Amino acid sequence: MLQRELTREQAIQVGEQILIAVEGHIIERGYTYFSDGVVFNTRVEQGQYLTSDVQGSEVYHARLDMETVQNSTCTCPYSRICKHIAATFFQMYSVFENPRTFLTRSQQPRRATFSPHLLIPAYKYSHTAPAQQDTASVSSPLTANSSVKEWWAFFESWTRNLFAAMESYRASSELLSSYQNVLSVAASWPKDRAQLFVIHANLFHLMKLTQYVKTYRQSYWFLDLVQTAERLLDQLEGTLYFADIPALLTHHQDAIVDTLQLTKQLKENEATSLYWIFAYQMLWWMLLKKPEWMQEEILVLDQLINNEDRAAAEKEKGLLLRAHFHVMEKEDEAALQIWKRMSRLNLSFYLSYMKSFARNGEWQRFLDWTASLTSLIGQAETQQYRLVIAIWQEAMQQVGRSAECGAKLKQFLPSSYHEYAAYLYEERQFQQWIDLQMSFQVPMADISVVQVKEIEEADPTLLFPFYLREVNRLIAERNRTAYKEAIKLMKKVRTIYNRANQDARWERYVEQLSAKHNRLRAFQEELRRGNFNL
Amino acid sequence: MNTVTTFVLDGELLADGQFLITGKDTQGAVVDPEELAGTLFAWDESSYYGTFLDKNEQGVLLSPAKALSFFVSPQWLLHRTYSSSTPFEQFTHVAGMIRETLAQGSIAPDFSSWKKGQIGWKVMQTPDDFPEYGHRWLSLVVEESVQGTGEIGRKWEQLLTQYPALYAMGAELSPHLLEQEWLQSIGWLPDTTPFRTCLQIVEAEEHPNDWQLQVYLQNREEPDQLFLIEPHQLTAEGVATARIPADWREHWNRFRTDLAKCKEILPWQKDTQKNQSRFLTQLTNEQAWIFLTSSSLQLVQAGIHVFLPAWWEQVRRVKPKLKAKITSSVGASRQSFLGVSQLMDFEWKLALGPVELSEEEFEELIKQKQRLLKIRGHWVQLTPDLFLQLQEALKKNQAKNGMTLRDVMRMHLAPTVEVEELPDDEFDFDTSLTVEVQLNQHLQELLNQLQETKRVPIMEQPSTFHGTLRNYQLEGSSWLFFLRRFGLGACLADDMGLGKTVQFITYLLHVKQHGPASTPSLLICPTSVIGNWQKELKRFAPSLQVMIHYGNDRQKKEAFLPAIKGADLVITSYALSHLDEQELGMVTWDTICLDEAQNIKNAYTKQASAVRDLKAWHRIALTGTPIENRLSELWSIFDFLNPGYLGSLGEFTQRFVHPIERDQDQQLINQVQRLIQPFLLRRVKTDPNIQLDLPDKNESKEYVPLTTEQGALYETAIQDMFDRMEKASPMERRGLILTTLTRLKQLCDHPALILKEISTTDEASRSHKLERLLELVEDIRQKKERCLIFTQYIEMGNLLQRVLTREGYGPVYFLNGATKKEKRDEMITRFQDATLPDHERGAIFILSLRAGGTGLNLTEANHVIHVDRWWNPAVENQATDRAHRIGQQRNVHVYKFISLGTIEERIDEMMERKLSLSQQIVGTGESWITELSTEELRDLFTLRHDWLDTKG
Repeated sequence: MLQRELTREQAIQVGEQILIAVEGHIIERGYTYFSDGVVFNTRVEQGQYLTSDVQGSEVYHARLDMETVQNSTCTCPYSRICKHIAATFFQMYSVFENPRTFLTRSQQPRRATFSPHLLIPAYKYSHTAPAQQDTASVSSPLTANSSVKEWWAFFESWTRNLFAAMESYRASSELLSSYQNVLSVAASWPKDRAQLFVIHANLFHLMKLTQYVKTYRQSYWFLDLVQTAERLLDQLEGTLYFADIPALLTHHQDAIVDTLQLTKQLKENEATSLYWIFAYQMLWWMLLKKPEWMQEEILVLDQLINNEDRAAAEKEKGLLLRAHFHVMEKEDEAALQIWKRMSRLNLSFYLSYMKSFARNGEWQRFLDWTASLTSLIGQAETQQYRLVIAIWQEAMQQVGRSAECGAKLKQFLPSSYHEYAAYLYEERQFQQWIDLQMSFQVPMADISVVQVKEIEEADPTLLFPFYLREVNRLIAERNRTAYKEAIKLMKKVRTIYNRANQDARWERYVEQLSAKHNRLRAFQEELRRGNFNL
Repeated sequence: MNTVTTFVLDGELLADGQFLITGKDTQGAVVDPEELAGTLFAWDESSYYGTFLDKNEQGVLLSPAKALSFFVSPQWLLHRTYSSSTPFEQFTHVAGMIRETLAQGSIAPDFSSWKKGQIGWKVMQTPDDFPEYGHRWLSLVVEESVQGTGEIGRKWEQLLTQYPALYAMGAELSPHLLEQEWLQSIGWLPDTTPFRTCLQIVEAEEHPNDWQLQVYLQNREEPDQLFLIEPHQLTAEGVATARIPADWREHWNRFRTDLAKCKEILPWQKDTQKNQSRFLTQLTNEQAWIFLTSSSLQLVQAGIHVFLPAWWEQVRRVKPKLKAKITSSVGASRQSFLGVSQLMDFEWKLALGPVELSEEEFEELIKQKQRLLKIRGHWVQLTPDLFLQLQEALKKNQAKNGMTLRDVMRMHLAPTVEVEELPDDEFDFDTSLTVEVQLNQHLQELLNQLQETKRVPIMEQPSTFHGTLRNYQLEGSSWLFFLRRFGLGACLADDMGLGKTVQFITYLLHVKQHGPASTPSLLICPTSVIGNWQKELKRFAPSLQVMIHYGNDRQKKEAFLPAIKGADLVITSYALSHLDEQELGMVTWDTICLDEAQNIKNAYTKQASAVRDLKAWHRIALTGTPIENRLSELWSIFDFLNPGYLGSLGEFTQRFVHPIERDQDQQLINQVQRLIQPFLLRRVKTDPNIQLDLPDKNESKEYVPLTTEQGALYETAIQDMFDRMEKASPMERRGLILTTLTRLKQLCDHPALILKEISTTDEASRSHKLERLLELVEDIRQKKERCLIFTQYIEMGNLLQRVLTREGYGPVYFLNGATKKEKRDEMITRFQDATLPDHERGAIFILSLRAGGTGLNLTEANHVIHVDRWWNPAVENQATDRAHRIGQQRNVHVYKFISLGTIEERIDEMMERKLSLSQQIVGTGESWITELSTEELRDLFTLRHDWLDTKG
């Protein structure tokens, strides 16, 4: 079917777009769905759309826009191009080309490309809660008019068996399904109220998870629990992002004040886990940004910080939280100064702020932050690094400094290695390029012959340190195979010295090398065999 | 891959000025020095990117200059992160300052360092936080670049030639020199004075204490312009009257300063009060000497120019020599039996350049305490030191009971080395005093005669000699007799066949003519030639009473002396010289003669030492091939002839044998030859002075291929050897090689030799050598001529004898080591006797190379066949000379059989190459082969197939 309706060229063209628009991990997950065979009913619509039903935690309807992949949609809560769309793509692509090859290609280092989608929270809140056919709908005493306190009381009773279940089954899925299920309570509520309810359910479960880890896992976060926490936070962010904040503030004041109180109480948590702090910051940043509320909280925090009687860890926590209000008051430097001292804060801690700056078009502010956080960015995990760099490049462009980008990539080493190397090479800054390869101890085998050839043509002498270092490394291996390799390489070196009219230097090199390793009998033998006229 | 390694760098300044750079990774583990060097010097071309920097276990070692450039602008990898320790940062900081200082050129030579005797530099304006070690660092950096081969090094060289004052350091620097002046003298600071102050010493003309010191000002620009400052002008006021350019007058103070400096330096002005004293311009002899020897140098170093008399340099350079002037009338009178141990009278002379002083004269002059003397128109310098040296030398010499003729000859013939290289010798003078021997006329004459045989008085042929001697033979016997007069042992080393025997017989006749000797002479020779001697003596000197001390019925013990009574010559063998040592030792022989003297070549054998212990008035050695022997063998013969002349064997070995064998030092070879030459007479057949009229000798090589059988056996033998060699110990290996060598050579002769077969009739078909030999013999016999056949192997001899006899050439003689003397004599007599019919006489004589190689006279044969080859051509030639010698009437044909492609051919090639060499030093035997490497052996032994007989 697809074979007749589409062409190979089309498939390839879509693939190229996918590579640009879709995050690596999403492509990977899409491939897994595809290869698990959960993509059904794939068909072409209006010659432009590719639709299919994908069986995930439930069935989602993905719709891939083959002309502009960015415009593809899916019924899942993920706000960007999701794995279901990716799976749909693979379903089609596999008809024409090897999808495995495509996957491999997508796993190669790619340059991040900016698109506004990157800035939007990954999860969007859909008011029409998914129909939960297979699970009994939650019966609750709550109505749209129930207070926040009643919500929380209900949450407590609703989850009274949760820890036991988490202990007996997979903790993360139990917690997530508890969260998912409880959302149905507000499914029929007015949208604003329901959104607020989701926020509280999310917050409740996040706290529950923290409590669980603390009680049952001695505060040790297993990976699946980390992912669960992050997923909750993602959803919290999405919900807050897509919520009608002014409406909430206007029409649900009581609930908002209760939320404020709850948020303030979050401070009571221990700072060993950062997740509640993310939630705390998010709520202040997006929901509770009334100056008088903030001042109140700042006052409390300052008291905490300046109170001699409090434990150091408490004060540290106070500082950490206080810095957030510095940012809110655009005192970025003060905030960064506090945070950068705290070595446990990694890039993801700053990332939500930075995305938010980008969303607001505060490009310079964003650039200031990257400039301040270079080493964190340089050591960030790939996904986060790519995100930051994509935005950073956009920011540079926005402020008219695109041209500097290539050179500036250097500050984001080692994460930026591939892009920076590519930049240096394109700019024909070969010495820098070689230096980079040597600094990163890139094995010679990993370096493309074509590139070495081009450098050799441009300025062969640049390769001396590179080759000689490799010769040294081979000799240090102390075995004959390596010696033979070394001799082979030395012959290349000889050719270059010869071409550079430095025969005398070459001779001195061989002589000294022979003298240096005069105890290595096997190497000496190979040297003699190499006919270097010693 | 994405781990950026941060290196934590640390630096340390080591005691020797080097810097140790170490690195740790972020975990605190020490970075491997090679990797560290590769990283920190990744772009440093000069060290080949860190490859050739010095390293120790901890890190990289940098010279001061290298460290400087490293700290200032590291050529390290740029995409790494480095954090540095405090010392490292400090070094970086200081390095920056040094670089700055150097760039500004604000450094100067450090006078205080120079004074301490080392090159040093200092910073002119020190930055505030410049640490102490910074000075040293900077100094070392400058020094390093100055010593280097680069641009700075070259400039420095130029500088040194321009300003030689830079060379002066430490004690050489005058303590009176001021830093300012020094900087001027080395050209660092410009000297604006238009003139230089100069002093000239003018020698005393009439009175020895009338030396003049004159003061000049020299134009700096034009050194030819000199202005004399009169003695009375040397004052501050002198400026008015001094005849100098007007614009110099303002610098008069400078002149006064210089003058004050001079006064400080000149010791006779030191005592007088400063500035008060006048500048003395008249010097005593003693002062003049001090001025010439020491003050002048100090003055120059202090920047004053000094003009010395032209002769001074010569006088200064004269090396005093001690001369021993022989005064005894050696050689003048008819003194006999002087011997090399004869003491010489002589007087010592001290030679100072052209002036010679006797001991007394010298002592007399020393007493005058004049260091500078004009003797016979020449200035000489006499120092108490010299006198001490002289006395020391004389004392040493007198303690050794004076000099013997041996010493004189050695000093005369090989002078320099004696003094320098034999510190344990009796001529161990203070090395600074060269000793020379000055011969008197007679001794000079004697040595001249010894060195040139022609100048020896020729004696007439004794009437008692039957026959006619050739001229060179008369010369030879006269020479022997001449040396006899001085008791000097003689070695007659004429070529084979030149008639050493008759020369010795003539000598004996001369001895007898010059008055009856109290005791007989003794001739020691190999057993094989006793008969020969007997016959020759009877033939040429029937008047001589000859006694053979040989055989079981020889007279022993108390019967010995009576037995030799009345004899002119006693003949015995080498073996008996040792066995009957006691009997032979009872007599002080008139002359002992060793025939084939190489028999005592090994000095350590009992035989050799027994022979050397025998007493005699005169000693003679006859040998055809003295130089064939190794040098230590030469020593053995000469120690017999003139005991002690070549020193002990140990000394001789150390001084000559080892160096010559090691380096082929031609000079040393010449020296040995000079030393032995007076006692050695060697004429060769090719010598144009010797009109031998010997018939020609035609040599041809007979190349024969191996048979297939031989080829197969040959290869098996080699294969076997190499197989076994792998497991063999060095000792076994040697044995194995020698055995194989013998096997190979034998099977080249004939396969039956190694297969140990019973004889068959088809022998000729199994060896082309044998086949060819039979053809040759057939030719020879058809012409009614005779031949000698030499082989190394008894079995081959036997085989040949058997085959030739079977072929009807009998009787076929075979002389080998086992042949009894009587049998030998008989065989030789028959073979030589032309009167006998062929079937009694024999036409073919087979000889084993070893037993028949020397001493025999077989001139009836004019064909010589060498069936197999020996390494040394001299041995073969000797064998050939059995036929090619005096008495030979016809041309001699020599055939050397060589098996193609085999070891024999290789031997032949080697001999061709070595022929010239062997005339100097000859490697003998086969033992050297055992030291070859397996590869070389393979090359030597392997059969070259292109020559293998393919007929089957």
